[in-house]
Parts: sequence; structure tokens; C-alpha cells
Amino acid sequence: MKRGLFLKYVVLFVGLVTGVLVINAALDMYFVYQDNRRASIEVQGEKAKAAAEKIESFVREIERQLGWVTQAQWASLPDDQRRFDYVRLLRQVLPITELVQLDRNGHEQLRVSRLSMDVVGAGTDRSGEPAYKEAMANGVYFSPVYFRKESEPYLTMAVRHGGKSGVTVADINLKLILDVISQIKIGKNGYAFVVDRQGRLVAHPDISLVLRGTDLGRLAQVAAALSPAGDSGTPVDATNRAGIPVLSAHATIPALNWIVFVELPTSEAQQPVVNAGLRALALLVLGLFIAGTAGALLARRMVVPIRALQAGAQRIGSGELHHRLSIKTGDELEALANQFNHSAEALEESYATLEQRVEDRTRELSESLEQQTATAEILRVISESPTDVQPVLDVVAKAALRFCGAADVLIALREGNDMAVVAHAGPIKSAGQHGRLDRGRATGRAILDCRTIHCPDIEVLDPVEFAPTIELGRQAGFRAAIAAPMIREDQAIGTILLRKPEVGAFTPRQIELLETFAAQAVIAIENVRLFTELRESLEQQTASAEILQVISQSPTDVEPVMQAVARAAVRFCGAEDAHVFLREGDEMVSSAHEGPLSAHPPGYRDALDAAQTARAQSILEARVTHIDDTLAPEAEAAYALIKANSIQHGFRAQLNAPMLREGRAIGCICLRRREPGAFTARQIELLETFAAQAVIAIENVRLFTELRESLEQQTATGDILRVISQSPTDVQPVLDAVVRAALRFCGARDALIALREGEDNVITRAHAGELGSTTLGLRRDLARHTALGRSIGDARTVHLSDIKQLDSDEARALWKSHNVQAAVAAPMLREGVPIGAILLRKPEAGPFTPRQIELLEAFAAQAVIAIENVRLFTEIQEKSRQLEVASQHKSQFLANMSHELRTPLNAIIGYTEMMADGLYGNVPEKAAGVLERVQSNGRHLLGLINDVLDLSKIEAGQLSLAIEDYSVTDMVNTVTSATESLARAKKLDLVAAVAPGLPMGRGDARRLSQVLLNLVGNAIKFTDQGKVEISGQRNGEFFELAVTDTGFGIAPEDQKRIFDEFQQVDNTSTRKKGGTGLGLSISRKIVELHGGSITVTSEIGKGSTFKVTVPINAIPVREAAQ
Amino acid sequence: MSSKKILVVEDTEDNRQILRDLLGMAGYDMIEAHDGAEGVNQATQHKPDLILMDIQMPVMDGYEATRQIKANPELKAIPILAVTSYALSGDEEKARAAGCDGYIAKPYSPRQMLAKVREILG
Repeated sequence: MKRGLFLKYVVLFVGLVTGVLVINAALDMYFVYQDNRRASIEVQGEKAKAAAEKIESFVREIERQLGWVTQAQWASLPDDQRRFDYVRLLRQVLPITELVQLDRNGHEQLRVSRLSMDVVGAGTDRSGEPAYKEAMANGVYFSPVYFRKESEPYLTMAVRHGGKSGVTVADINLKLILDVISQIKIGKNGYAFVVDRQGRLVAHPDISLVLRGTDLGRLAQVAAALSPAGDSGTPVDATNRAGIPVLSAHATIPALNWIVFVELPTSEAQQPVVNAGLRALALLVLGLFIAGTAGALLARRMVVPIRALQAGAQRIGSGELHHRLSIKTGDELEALANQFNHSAEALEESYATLEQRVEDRTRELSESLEQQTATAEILRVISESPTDVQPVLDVVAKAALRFCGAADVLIALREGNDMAVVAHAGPIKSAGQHGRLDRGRATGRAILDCRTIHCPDIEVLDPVEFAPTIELGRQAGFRAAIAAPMIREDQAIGTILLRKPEVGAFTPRQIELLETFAAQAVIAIENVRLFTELRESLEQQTASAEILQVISQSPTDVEPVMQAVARAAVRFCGAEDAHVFLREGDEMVSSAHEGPLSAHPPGYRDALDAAQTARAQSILEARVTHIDDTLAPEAEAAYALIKANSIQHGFRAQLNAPMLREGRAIGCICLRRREPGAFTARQIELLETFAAQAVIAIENVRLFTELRESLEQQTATGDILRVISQSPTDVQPVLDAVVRAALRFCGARDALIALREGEDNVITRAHAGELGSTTLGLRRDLARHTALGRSIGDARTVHLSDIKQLDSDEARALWKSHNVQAAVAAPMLREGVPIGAILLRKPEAGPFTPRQIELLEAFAAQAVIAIENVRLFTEIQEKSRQLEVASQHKSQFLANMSHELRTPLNAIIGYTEMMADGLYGNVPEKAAGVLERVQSNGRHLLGLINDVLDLSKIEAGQLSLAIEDYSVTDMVNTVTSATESLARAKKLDLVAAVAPGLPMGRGDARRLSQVLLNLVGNAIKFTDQGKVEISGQRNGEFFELAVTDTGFGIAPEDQKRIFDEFQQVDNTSTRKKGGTGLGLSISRKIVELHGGSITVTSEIGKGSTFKVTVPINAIPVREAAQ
Repeated sequence: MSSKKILVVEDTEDNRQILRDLLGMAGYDMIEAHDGAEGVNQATQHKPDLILMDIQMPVMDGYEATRQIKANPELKAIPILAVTSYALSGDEEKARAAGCDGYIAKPYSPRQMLAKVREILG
């Protein structure tokens, strides 16, 4: 419980008051202090000033009085007069105790004293005294204070006479001053004192201090005042001689240059402040007390009601909702308390309501719980017996009995137009186990109308409509009843009937509950049904799976599958016996059999006659045939043999399902039962499934076998092709491989290959197998009566599946001797012409399958390929060899020609040259000329031979370019220098115009020079006047070399021809010029070998330009050997 | 100093005559052989300073003779000039491959032949 409100308020209050008081006090004290100080200062200041003024005026008065006697002429007054004046002065000014007149030289002239005898004209020299000296110098002199009689302060004042005629010295009693000073009273302990210029005490209330000559110069305030600046007289805080802090004010006495100090101990000055403080404190205490008391009272006034509120709220809060607060403070607190009371009231009310509701709800819930439990139990029973409905119905009945307020419960299920009681709980008798559905009864009506029939009192029912019910009620002893339908998919499959012996309606809740139970019963029934269905389905799936597994496990063998199918059929189709039949042509062959009834053995054949057996019909008509009683007249009428068969094998019911492949039956499964009776739709369906699976199996096997065979053949073919590729020159390995493959794959026991030789002979080339004696390489007659002979002769496959098919005795004898019963021969055709054949033989009669024959023909084709291959290969080799030889011959020829031609030339050129050089003696001039001609002809001849040989070499592909770097400029220069003399001889200009900066070319420089030389030579040769220009430039990736002349040109038709061998423009005109006509064709060939071209442009009468375009980087074009 | 010996292996008489005259005039001693085999013998026997080897010869051609001579360590150093008709491509390579140190093409100008000989023999 939180407390402290009271305290809080009290403290707050008190604190507030205290605070205020304290602040007040502080302020008060502060101001008091300030005021006090100010007042004090003022007073002190005033007093000091007053004192100073007083003293000042005292002194000035005396001075003034002395003025009477200080006039210049006064000194010249007679002594008496003077003395009289002095006395009078003494009389008037009481403080003066003695007057002395000093003359001009400081000698005493007159003394008048109050204390002693007057002295006249003593003449004492007092010129050394400061009184005289100072007075004479400054006009007036005040001596320091001195004391007489140890207690009386005196001062000597000296005044100069006018005209410096003397000085009057007066002793002045300062008692007055002292009195003045002593009288100054400030406060209690305030005092005043006077110091002279040196800081020595001149007047003080304590005379002893003065007498001692106390020096107060050290005191700060004194020093300050004495300093030239400290003349302001502002009061300061200082310490006095005794060390007590004082407030000190001062004023100067200008005449004497003394300072009056008025001091007051600060403690005294502060006394009022302290007093004020004490007052405040007292006030504070009082205030605290009062505040505390008042606060407490106030707080109490507030806190008490609040506490009351708190306690009350607590009580209410802890559950005493009836408690009411009673606070009568007449303010907000009272309002709050009332509010609380209202809330409490409301709470009380709602609490009561809530309680009630909770009670109701709980009751409902517990009811609900009971029902849930019942339902749960029913559901549990449902889940525990998925295959049996009865336990569930029993539980439902019991639950209905317990929860629906009935005395008796009946559950009845509909069976067509009847009803059967399946569960009963309670003592009231039921009308019977079975009965027709009667609308007159609640049960019947509920089922038929598919709604709940509620009869709180059967006696009040319509007697006509409900007669049976009323009757029953009276008999069995019930008065109220209610029947709820068990609805599945909008149809009632049964009903639950509640009965009570007393009249009374069933509550809506009970009815609801009943309907729930009805629904659950339906669920249970459905469940069982589905479960059973599921299980059956599963079993069939398993069976199917089993069969499929068998199929997959024996891909090549049909038998196990048939067996599995028969087994499954027996197991699942409600039969005792299953028998599989396969169709073969127009017969049925017995296959797998499962079951105790006797049956035909496997392989047994039956005629396919629909009139005779149901199974035949099933196959022929590709449909299910179903006999539920084999001995019934209908069955007998339909199938002739059925009765006999059924008696023989011991069956009364039969079901046949066809095995369909692409709409056609390839067999059937025949189910048999000892007892007559129809097979269910489901069983028929199932059997059809098994039949389909059997078909799959058969197909599978077929395909698999096909596949395997295909694969084998592919492999065989592959093998043979491999052998072909491995022995391109030898046919024998291939033929051997073929016969081996034929033997293996074609179902033969013997295979041989014979090749034709000529029209009438064959030679056996390969043989594999065991039949007959066959010698390889043996040439025989192409016997047309044999399969082999016929096949070759007629260029077709000859197939004899039986020795009987032979039409010549010879052949037959041959076969017999070789133990042959069947044979097939396939011809090996090359472009339709038989070059041989493969012969397959078997020791047993029987056809070769189309597949085998197909394969044989494929092998035959491969053998042909092989033979051809070898032949072609050999041909190619031979041809290559010949070509090689020819080439060699050509080269040899060239070499020989070259040698033969050049050798005699060597002699000619050699000898002529040596003769010309004089090796054989001097040569006369004429002879030298002739010799020269011989030499030139010799060189010419050499040129010709070279040209011819070059051409031949080019033609023979023997010319290969020697690729090297060359410079166009250098090449052109070489050519020009070589032809210069020729040109000069004909008076022609020979100009070389090669573009600068051409890159280095790559090609056969020697031959290119040859070309240029040829062109330039021709140009010079065919130009009689003008010039020949050789130009060279670059055009992209090509050099363009041009030789331009101003000769007589070349006609267009000739331009084409000139490059041909042995062609010259005009044999007549140019023959004069010489030349073989080879140069240009060789030049063209050389340029073309570089990958370039030569062109000519010319105009008759103007000249010709031959342009050589050659790649900068020549890529030699190899001409094929021709 | 005795004059240099030059072995001429050449099957044609005319050519031999030319060389006889030429080399004789030039002051060289000429030794002759009519075919490759004889050439090898002569070379072995006389150890000439230079051999002028014709290529196309009966019995043994110039390549073979060159090979044999070069195979002989005593004769290896003798420079051999192939005198070739230079007909086919590859003739030059063949000559080098056989071991010839140079070649001269037939028909040759005697002046050029002499120049070449002088070049080799100094």
C-alpha cells in the first residue's frame, strides 16, 4: 500500500514556507547590511569632514586673530601697545597660551604668556628656529605637535608680519582639537583620530597614544590617505592599529595638512545585519513550525479522503463488489468516490450475469464434450475395423441410446426395396429382421423420403398413413419415435430409429445428434466399402505388376509370362482354372495352364471354329465369351463341343477373354469354374487386363528377338565392313568373313562363295561349314541345275526349301551326296551383272526365313563391294605407278635433251671464243668478223635451246621459282644496262622510270629479269625510231612493270596470239627480226607462276605497251604435272 | 712453284680439247678422265688441286664420282666444280648434295671458265 501522500504534502508545504522565509531573510539581511554600511559611511564621512572643518576653522581663526598683530606697522607700535594687543589676543583666543614677537632678525622682542611673566625686548636670537625660518620663508608655519605637562598637546604657529618685518610665534593649546576629536562618537565603538603629514598621531581619544608619538603611517588607510592620490576621503575597509577590521573615513585639514580619521569597527557596523539575521532565523523557526502544523492539517484534510478512496477501491478490487465508498468532502474527491461506487455497482451486475453465462456455457460444453467423445469413439471404432461395418453400427446404436434421450435404438439398412435391421440397442422389440420398405412406418418413410420423421406421440398420427407404426407402437410398447435417414449422395441407404415408451418430443439437440450419428454410420459403411475396393484394386495391381515383372525378366521367352497370367487369372478372377491359347493361323495352340482341372497339354492344336467352342469364338470374333452354365440349353445350342468338354474336364462355368493385338486376337485366356454361375463384371474386366498383358508380353518377346537379330546383323555387317577397310588389297579375308557371317546369321549349316569366271565357270573362293567337300580355288562348271548355277545364271536369289523342289536328278544326287536338304543362293551383282554368288545349305528341310534371305542378300552385296574395292584400289595403284614412270621419263628426256643440245654448243662457243682471243694464233680482221658472227649465232642458238628447255620444263611442271627478295629498281637497271648498247645501236632512247620508294619484292628475280629482258628486247627489236620506256610502280599489293615502245604496234587480232607458243605477229615480217616466238609465252608462264599476269595494249602506228602485273609477295602457283 | 694440277672429268672429246687448250695456255697441268670411275682413280692417284667434273657421263656420273672422292679423307679437300647442263630444277641442289663446291653451266664461255678457275686456284 503506497503511503507518503501526507508526508509529501507536509514537506511540500513546509518547504515552501521555509523557502519563502529564508529568501526573505536573506534579502532582508542583504539590504540591511547595505543600508547600514551606507549610513555608517555617510555618518563617518560627515563627522570626519565636520571635525576637519572645525579644526580648520579653529586654526584659521587663530590665524586670523593673529593677523591683528602681524601687520607690518604693528611692529613699530610701542611696546605697551603691542603688549596690550597680545594680552587682548590672549584673552580673546583662549587656546593661545603664549605669543612671542620676533623681529626681522629673529630676535625676540616681546613675549606674552598666560602661564608666565611677560617679557619685553628680551632679544633672544631665535632665528635658528624653524618657526622663524619657515614663517619668514612661507609666511606661516605650523610646528609639529608637542606636549607640555605630559598631557597637553601644543602647537606653535608662526606668522610672518607683513613686509617681512618680523614673525609672531604663538603657542597654541590643542586641547580644543583633542576635545573635538574625543567628542566624535560613532556608534558604540567608533572613534576618530588625527594624524599629521608623517602619519604620526596628533589627536586620539587615548591620549597616551598621542604622547607616545604613535606612528600610524603603516596603516593602510593612513598611508593611502597620506599618499598624494589618496585625498578623496572615500571610506574604506581597513584594519586599525589593534588589528580590528574597521570602516575608516577621513578628511583633510588643509591648513595643517593633517588628516582626520573616523573609524568604526565593522563588527559594529554589521551588528544590525546580524541582528536582522537572528530575527530572520527566529522568524524562520516560527514559520517552520506554523507551516508544519498548517501543512499537516491541510494534508490531512486531503489525504484522509484519498486514503479512504484507496482502501475502498482496494476492497472493491479484491472482490467485495458490494462495498461502497462514503466520502463526503463536498469536492472532487467526493465526486470521484461516487464514480467509484457506480463502477462497483456495474461490475457487480455484470459479474452476476457473467457467472450465469459461464454456467450455461459450461453445461453446453460438457454436453458437447460428451457427444464429441461419443463421436470420437465411433470414429475410433470405424478406424479399427476398416473391413467390418457391424462393430461401428453397434457403437452408433449405443451412442444414440445414450445421448439422444431414447429408450431404444434400431439401425436398419436398405436393400433394394427391403430393409434389414443390422443393429439394435434397447429393450423394445423390433418388428423383425427383414421387411419391405413401408412408408407407413417411420423407418420406411425416413428412407423413402430421405428426411427425419419425428413422432412425439404416435397415437396422434394419421391412422391411415401411419397404421403400421401405430400398430407396432402398441405391440412393442413405445409412444414416441424418431427416424433419421442415413444419407449417401442424396440417397438414404438406411435409417436410425429412436423410440421412447413415453410421449414426448425429442429436443432439437437430440435430433441433431441423431443425425450426426446417422452420418457417421454412413461414413463407416462407405469406409468399409472403399477399403474393400481398395484392397481388391491393390491386389489386382500387384497381380498386374507381377505379370509385368515376369515380362521384364524374360524378354525372350513367352512361356513364363503365360504361366504368370494364368496364375493371376485363377487367383483374381474367381475361377479355379485358367488356360491360355495362342492362335496360329487357323488353329489354336494350347499354351500355359494353371489349375486343377484337366486340360490339353501345351502344344496341342485345336481347330478355330466358333461354332464348336466358346474360346474359338472369342478368338475369331475378338470378344469376351461367357457361359455361366455349360450344361444349360443355350450353351449347348451355341457351342457344339461345350457340353462334352465340360463334362470331360469337370467345369460348369467358363469365361474367355481374347488377347488383342491391333484389334485382332492372337489368342485367348479361358477361365473355368466347377460350379455354374456368372463371372462378375469386375472379374471379366480383370481378365481382359490380364489378356492385354499377355499380348504385351508376346509383343515384347517378338520385338526383343527382332531387335537382337537386328543388332546381330548390324554387328555382322559392321564386322564385314571393317574387314573390307582393313584389307583394301586383298579380297580373301572379306570373303571369309562373309561366309562366316552368313553361316552364323542366316540359319544355315554351310556357306560358300563362288566367283564367276568367264561364261561357264565358277571358282569357289570361300567356304565355311560342314556340308559336302568343297575345294577352294577349284574351277567348276556353272551348273545351271544347281541353286548356285541358277542364281548366277538368272541373277536372282534361288530358294529351295526341300530337296523335292529340285528338278534335276543330278542336282538331287548332288544334294544327297552332300547331305543337303535345303539351300538358298543369292547372286553377287555388280551393276546388275552377277560376278558370283553365296550359297547357304541346310541338312534339314525347311525354308529359310525371309529375314535370313534378306541378310544373305546384304552379305552378297557387301562381298561385291569388297571385290570392287580391291579392284579399284589395285587399278589406282597401277595408274599411279605408270604416271610416276611417265613423269620420270619426261624428266630424263629433258635432262638428256639439255645435255645433248648443249654439249656441241660448248665446243662451238668455246672454240670460237678461244680463237677470237688468239689462242690459236693471230686472227686476220676478216676472219675476226666472221668469227664474231659465228659466235653470235652460237649464242643465239644457245638462247633458243634455253628457251625450248625452259618451256618444256614449265610444261613438265619442272620449273620451280627460286623465291628471294629483289628490288625493282635494281632489276630494271640491270635490264637497261644489258640492253643499252642495243638501243644505242638503233639510236633509240632507253628510259627507265621507276617510282621511288617501292618496297622489296619477293619472287624469282632471275626469271623476272628474264621476262623484262625479253620484253625490252622485243621493244627495241620492233622499234625503229623513238624510245623504249621501262616503268615500274606499285598498285596495291602488286607491282606494275610496263615496257612502252614507239614501234609500229600490234594489231588487235595479233595481240591475242602473240603469247601463244611459236606465234609471232607475222611470220613474214618478223622473221626478219628473228626470234623463235617462244619468249612471250615463256614470259607469260613465268609471270603466271608468280601469280601475276601480262597484258598488252597497242595501236598500229603508235606503239605498244606490255604491262606485267605481279604480286609484291609472289605466291608461286604450282602447275599440275601434265 | 710447280703449276697447279687440274683434273678434268669429261666424256666428250671436243670439250676436253677446249679445256686442254684453255688450261694449257693458262699454264695449268691438265689430267684427264673419260668417265666418273676413271675420274675417281685419277683423283686418287694424282691428287689434283681442282677437279672439273662433268655430270652426265657413262659408267659413273659426276654426282657419284664426286661423292666417292669426297668420301675419301685424303681427297676431301680438293675443290670440285660441277660442269652441268643445268637442265632440271634440283640439279644445283643435287650437285651440292653430292659434295660439289661450285658449278659452272654448260655451255660456258672459256673466258669465264678461266676466271673461275683462277678464282679458286689463285
